[in-house]
Amino acid sequence: MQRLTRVEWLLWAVGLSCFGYCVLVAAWGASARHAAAKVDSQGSSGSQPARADEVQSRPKDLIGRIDIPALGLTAPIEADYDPASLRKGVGHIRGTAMPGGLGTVGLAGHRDTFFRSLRAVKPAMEVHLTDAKGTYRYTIDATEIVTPDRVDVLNASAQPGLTLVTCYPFDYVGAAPKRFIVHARLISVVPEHILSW
Amino acid sequence: MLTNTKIQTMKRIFSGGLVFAVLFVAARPLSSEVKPKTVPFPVAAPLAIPGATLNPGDYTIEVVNQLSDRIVLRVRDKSGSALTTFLGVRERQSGSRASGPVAWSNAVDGKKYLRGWNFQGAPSSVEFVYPKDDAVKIATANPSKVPAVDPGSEGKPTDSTLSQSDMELLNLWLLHLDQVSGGQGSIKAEKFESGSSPQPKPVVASLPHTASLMPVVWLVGLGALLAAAFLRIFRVRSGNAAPYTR
Repeated sequence: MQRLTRVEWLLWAVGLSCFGYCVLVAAWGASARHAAAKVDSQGSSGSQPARADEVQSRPKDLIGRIDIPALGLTAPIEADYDPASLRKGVGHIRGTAMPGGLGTVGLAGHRDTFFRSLRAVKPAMEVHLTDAKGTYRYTIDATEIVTPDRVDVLNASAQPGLTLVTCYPFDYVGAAPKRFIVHARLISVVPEHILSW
Repeated sequence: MLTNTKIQTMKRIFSGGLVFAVLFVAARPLSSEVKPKTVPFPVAAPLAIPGATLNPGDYTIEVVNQLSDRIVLRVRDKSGSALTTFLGVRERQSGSRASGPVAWSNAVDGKKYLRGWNFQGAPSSVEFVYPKDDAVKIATANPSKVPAVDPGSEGKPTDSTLSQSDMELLNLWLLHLDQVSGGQGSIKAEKFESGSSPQPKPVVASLPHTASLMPVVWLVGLGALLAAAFLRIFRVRSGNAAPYTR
């Protein structure tokens, strides 16, 4: 019976540790979203440039924010897509265009955290990328499910665009075998006077 | 009846014609290229070119390399020091024009930008490819498509350290002002497509793996808590629940 007691204590410990980890990850996400909310275009709606203390308080790896209003999706954009960055937000895929640049911006995110709501994404929905210069509005053209070797989905297309990458199936437990891809194209830049592309 | 001599003569004429035809066909692509050369030119007033602003003085422009869809050009000062190395594209419309520089008709912020160069003897002129920010300014001031590159956005250096091999792989774009009636218009970009553009180099070996451990951790945690609760209930019901207080 003493052995059962030990097993029970062990199970409680494991369960509570896992629960604590989930809470911690959720807290990281909330903290990152809070930091991302501070990323506002300097010139949008004629507002003043961000104060120096505001800029300093932002994590240095934070390069912007992604919003899909129709899905209620808001997430910080991190400079890389390593595991640590993907815990804090969605990651910019190195080698793809930066927001506002000519080319295709590639962003990767966890299907079970920040990109969870992508399962409901539909063509014609708007995606907003915001960085220190402005807000870039994209419209979703298509989605597709591909194998991980289809790196051509990140190639520059005929117009400046955006490709979102997450694992598929969404409910798969473990290393998912496929990738869910969202293709969008740039439709406008706010404010227009930054003319950064 | 043909004599042997006549047959031999005809064979020679035919062989000579064949050789001439082969040489003619082989020479044709060369004639459409800009022949590598160095051309001196004076600058009387400040003049902007990709990567540099030329102050009054003497300079030379040279074709460094010619690729299927782009040309690498270099401008040197009087002493021979390279000032800037940049890309050009063959102008889409060809015709006979006076050789020498061609400027954009409208200046930007009071600065004159050079649009391209007509190399003597070349059937088409070379249009300069500007970095994105400059190209946006030129396209805003001039009603035409402006060739542009954005090395920074492709993870490449934006200064003069950009290597020739990087230049060969950069995506080329055309920027133009999309005028909307009653509005200021906005800059639109389209990829510069040439039939012989190089194949894009993959930016990653495979698409990122974006599944976290969260579902596994959540399932393990839930299972552990349920099992612990089950054990607890079992022990209470069997009357052997160990008190949590000693």
